Amino acid sequence: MRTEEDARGDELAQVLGKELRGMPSRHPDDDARERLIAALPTLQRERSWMPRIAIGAGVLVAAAAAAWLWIDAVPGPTTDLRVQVDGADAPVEGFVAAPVDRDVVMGFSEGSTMTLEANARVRLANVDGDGATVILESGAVDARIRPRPDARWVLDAGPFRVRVTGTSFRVAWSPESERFELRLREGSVQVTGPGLNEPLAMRGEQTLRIEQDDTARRVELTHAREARAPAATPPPGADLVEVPRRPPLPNKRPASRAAPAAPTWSALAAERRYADAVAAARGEGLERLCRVESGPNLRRLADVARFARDVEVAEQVLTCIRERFAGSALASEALFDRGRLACDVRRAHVACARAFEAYLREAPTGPLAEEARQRVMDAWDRSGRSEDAALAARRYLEHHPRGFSAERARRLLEANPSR
Amino acid sequence: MDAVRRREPAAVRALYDQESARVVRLLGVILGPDSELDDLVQQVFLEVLRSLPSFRGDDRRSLRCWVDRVTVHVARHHIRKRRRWRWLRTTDPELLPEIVSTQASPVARAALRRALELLREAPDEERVCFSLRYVEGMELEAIAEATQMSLATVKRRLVRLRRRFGEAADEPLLAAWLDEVRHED
Repeated sequence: MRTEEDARGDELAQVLGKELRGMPSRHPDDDARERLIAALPTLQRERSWMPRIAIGAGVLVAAAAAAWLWIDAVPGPTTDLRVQVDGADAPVEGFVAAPVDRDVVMGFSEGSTMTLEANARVRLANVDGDGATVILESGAVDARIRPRPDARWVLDAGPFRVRVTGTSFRVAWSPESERFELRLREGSVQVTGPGLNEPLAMRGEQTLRIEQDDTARRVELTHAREARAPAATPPPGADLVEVPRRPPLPNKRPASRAAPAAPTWSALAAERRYADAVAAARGEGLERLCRVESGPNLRRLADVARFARDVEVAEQVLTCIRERFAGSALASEALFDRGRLACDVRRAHVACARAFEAYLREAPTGPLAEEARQRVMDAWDRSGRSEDAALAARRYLEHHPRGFSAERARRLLEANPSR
Repeated sequence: MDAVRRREPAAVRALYDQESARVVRLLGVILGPDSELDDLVQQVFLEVLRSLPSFRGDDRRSLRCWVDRVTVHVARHHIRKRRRWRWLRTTDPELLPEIVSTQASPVARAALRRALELLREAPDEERVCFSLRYVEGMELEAIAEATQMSLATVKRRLVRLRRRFGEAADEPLLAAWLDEVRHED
């Protein structure tokens, strides 16, 4: 029988689906289509995974499992590049940050390097046999990419994307001032992003600067040797201003203009600028916000802090919800959120399990109880405490014998039958 | 169809033009914003073309189902690959898509962001089912075919997703949004 909750969920899903369906879709990409056409002759020599699926689906479990393993290996390259940071393996999380006082060298096994200048922060989005996708979150990176056939390197900096084959360049990005700079020393790159209506091909010694202030975006392309190097042709329709020599950059905020009022944390949160929103909340005074904001708003602020991975602020706001709305469902949900913070941000599995257990003590039949029991089970399992995980699995099954994680709970119990 | 099977450039171009927007949308909803989206779209079409010898359909509708099936496979493969690089968390706000709501109201825009957060937090297979059912409007049987799941599993995933959404629908922002939409309808 369909419950009221199911009907509400269906309605929300339908509205969201309609929104997503109605969002402007991209036009077919002519360049990508022609690359596809160019690849056609090579397809005759290649195998596809699809026939394997057809065989695996209808025959034997073993055949299906074998096909699955085979599928998982296709179509990725056979050998991914290895990455080292200052000679040690890159961290599991894929984040690399240079300390404030020195550079850090990220080396790839085929010989390319990216030097993170002091205080730079990057994220390794993907590394495969052909290259890597690196996201520059802030700061500057000096890249020396070894030229190879089929090399595919991408460096994303804010809204800008730099496609590289083999070259040497320095790129800097400041999310605060929205300033992007790419200084190409040799080779060629292709840059896309705001202000460039078409991909900009840069060659030789060129520097591209793009910055945005409150009223306008400024794009400059300069040549290191203007006298000898011909000017690059601006892409048609791009709002590109090519200048022979770098002029002084305009003041971000002229002294004569009154500074606009700072946006509130909630306005910044609505724009998904979570770190800025948390900074604004700090500026507005967390203690004051805890007194004046509504309960749902405070929960939203805790969410925003969690999204920004600011554990300190998130904890402070959740504590304030617990104190101000003691005994309410909101206060119990703050315990649930504390569990999410521990699991999802701090990766502290024991603290995570404890927080969800605390929620369950307060709201054993609450709307989030099933998920809390599932999370307790998972957290103990991830922390390696199999007996506690089995106990949590037993409790889950007692309360939700037909729950969505019932199968997993049974497997955990089977693995540790003594509980 | 025969021209596509023979991989004639004109037919392949037509196939790309007809299906690429849908493939982009499907991958976008399942994966969220992804720096490799363009490459994945290319990969989908390459796999479709590679697999055509085993494709038994004879009309555009069945070819579209085939493209969906390949798209879901490529998305799943990519999710597994991303998981090996565990930097990605589905709830990472930095990865939420740019919102271009068809609705002008600030409530609608904020609520849409919240709904997308919920979607990002849902398990991968629920997002796959959501995208096929609620964005592409496919029948359950067609979803089962495209995802290689049993019909019962597809139903279970959708029930779970609706429950997840149903719990959140009481949040003031989402409730106000749904009221707005009901009023407009």
